[in-house]
Amino acid sequence: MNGNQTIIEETPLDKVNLHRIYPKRKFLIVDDFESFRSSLRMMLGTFGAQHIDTAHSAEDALNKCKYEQYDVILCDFNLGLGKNGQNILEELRFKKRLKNTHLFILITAETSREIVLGAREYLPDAYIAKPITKNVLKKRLDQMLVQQHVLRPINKEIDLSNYAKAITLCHQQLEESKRYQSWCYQTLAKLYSLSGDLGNAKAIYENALASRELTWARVGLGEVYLSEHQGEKAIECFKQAIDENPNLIEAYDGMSNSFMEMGQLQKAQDALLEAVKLSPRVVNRQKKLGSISEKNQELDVAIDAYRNAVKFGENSVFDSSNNYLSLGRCLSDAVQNTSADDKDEKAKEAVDILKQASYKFPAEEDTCVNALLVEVRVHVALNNFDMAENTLRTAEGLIEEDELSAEVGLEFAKTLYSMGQDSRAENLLIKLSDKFADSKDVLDQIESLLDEPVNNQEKVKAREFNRQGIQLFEKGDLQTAIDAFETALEYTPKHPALNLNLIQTLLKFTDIEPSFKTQTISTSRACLDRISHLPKQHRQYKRMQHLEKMIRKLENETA
Amino acid sequence: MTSIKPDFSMVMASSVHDMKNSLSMLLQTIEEMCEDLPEEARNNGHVTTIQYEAERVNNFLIQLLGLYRLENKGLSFHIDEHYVEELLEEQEAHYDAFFALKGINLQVECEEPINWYFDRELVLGILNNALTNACRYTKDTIKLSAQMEDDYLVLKVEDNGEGYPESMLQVDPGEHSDSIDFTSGSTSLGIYFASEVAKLHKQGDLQGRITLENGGSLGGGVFSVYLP
Repeated sequence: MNGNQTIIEETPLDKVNLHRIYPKRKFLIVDDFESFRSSLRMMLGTFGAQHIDTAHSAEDALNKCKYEQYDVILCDFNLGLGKNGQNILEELRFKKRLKNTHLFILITAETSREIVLGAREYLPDAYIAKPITKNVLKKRLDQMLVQQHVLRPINKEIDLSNYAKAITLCHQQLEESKRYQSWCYQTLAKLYSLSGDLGNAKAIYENALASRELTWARVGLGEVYLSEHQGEKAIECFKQAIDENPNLIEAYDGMSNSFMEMGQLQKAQDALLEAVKLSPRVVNRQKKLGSISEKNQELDVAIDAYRNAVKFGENSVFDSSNNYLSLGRCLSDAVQNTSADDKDEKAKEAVDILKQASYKFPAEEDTCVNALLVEVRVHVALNNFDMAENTLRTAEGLIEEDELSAEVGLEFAKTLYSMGQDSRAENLLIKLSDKFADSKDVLDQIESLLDEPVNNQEKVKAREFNRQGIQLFEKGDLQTAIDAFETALEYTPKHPALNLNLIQTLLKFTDIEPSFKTQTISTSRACLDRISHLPKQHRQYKRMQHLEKMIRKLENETA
Repeated sequence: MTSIKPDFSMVMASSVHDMKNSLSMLLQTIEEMCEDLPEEARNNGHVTTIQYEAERVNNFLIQLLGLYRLENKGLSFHIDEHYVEELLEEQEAHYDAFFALKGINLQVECEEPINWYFDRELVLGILNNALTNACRYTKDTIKLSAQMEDDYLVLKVEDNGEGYPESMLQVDPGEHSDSIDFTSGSTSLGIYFASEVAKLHKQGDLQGRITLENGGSLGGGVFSVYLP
């Protein structure tokens, strides 16, 4: 081609024969209004469509999708009671019923931000606002069907996970036409990432950013940095993306993952909190927020998150008993915090939600048991010891101690501690640490329970005094350090590291003040007694052995 | 359980949602009705009036919701890449037949295929407003065009009517005068909204804007949207 000529490109619309395409495609219309369904059906008919199914509810639609693969689904958001358009999309994507070669179009009068953002997270192919007239619908559908047709070969390979082939076809498409350039580049970058070729993915993003501050490229670049474990750089990208577009959920998610990668759990939580403020209806994010905030011991945040997970999970494929149990557990922990003035309300909510868990998931045995176990703790917190005993007995009836799963075991131990049955709890935990010796996660949780079988508030106080004690020890102010450790021990008397910190400080003090020897020995022996239950696998076990040897040496000297 | 008073943003969203659904049925039914009518009945003024006014109600709803959300910082704003040509073709599909019935010739011009970045729904809203307004004030021609000017995409709606009154040309479209004149109030509110939407589009130091002029290729009013 002569470089001086302007190239006037034929639009794909000219090349593709739509008259042949409409009759071949299978359409599904989902709307709870009969009049809209028939109106839309008539319109599609005039466009040339021949296979048109309709569904009046989400359940109806999902059922039809089980037996038929639809090329185009036109779905309203609001579908009456029960599941909505977003729930349908979630489920089809989750179950992989919706292929890349299919189109899912939300066609709705719904414009509220949180609803739009939530639905968009599941990547509908288009979000069309009602009202829409026939001519405009035809235009939009024409454009989308042509694009579907032209990009079908690429999408087919992606559906089959033939990434290498898809990449080749993308390059070919780029050479053939400028039309779908952006889609091709975005897809290529994703495919490279999926294939582990981060270098090429990065190149595409950086190239795109060179000409314009593009959201998809900035976020994509952030994701690549994250995959390369470059947390700081990733966060910079996500921050920049958010500056340009404060609604960008993916960027908040990216920031949260980056902070998690760098071990900054509080900041990870904060980022997720921003994301759920914008888009509260995505259940998985609420679950994630609940989990992180629980680890950060921010019960209020966790409770809200799990509440939302339950609320929006109700009609979603992502509903799970876990959401209910987690909510119950967090509420019960909050009730144990004696300064809360809505104790009774929280307790009632806890018992309520735990009963709902058993009710909604009757087939899950563990769920029913866990629900009862958590309920016991609520009753204990309210000093209803009779209720507590009764509920515990019911729970025990359902438990086979030799066949305990880790989850139920841990919950059981926690409940036993709350009932003051400490030795029974300890024995259980030791048995569990033998049974699940291979699972680091379970061992961590066991240790944490053994160390601090108390409520949130007390844990926090103990940790604070422990921290102070360590600082004082390092400064050399040993007597005040000893006081700090002893205060901490009032809250968590059986905490291994804490007891050993005290012993260590006492030993060092005795080096300076030999007259303190007898006191050191007796205090240390008391400490060692308190942690005699320590299992071999516990990380403080070796330290305990070492310090016990030192104490014995001291005892022999005196003798 | 005490009943919870719904907060107003919910009232807004819910009401607008319901109205849009009704409008949707209205517009669709009119279209269907039209097809069953004999030629002469189709061309009589009543049908076009219904269509026109239904369109305007929809525009007002979108504007109402949009302005409310802007005020409360709740406006949903998504910039995506779009094919400008397709956008114009969609408007053509929307208004062509209807304008024809009113004796208005609609010209659509897009010299080169342009891919640009903006919020589709909001910009469509601005164009809808501009086109329905132009329809009211033009003589017999409306031109919708898109072209690149430096680093901006410029979308223009031109008519061959009397043009904008001096008073509107003098005020910065971004400013909204306190005294709303109810005859021209709807127009200036629409332009205010359009201006706010345009301003949301930013790229580096550049920002979107609206301009009103008289003249252009048709000698009447020229409504331009600049998007960076």
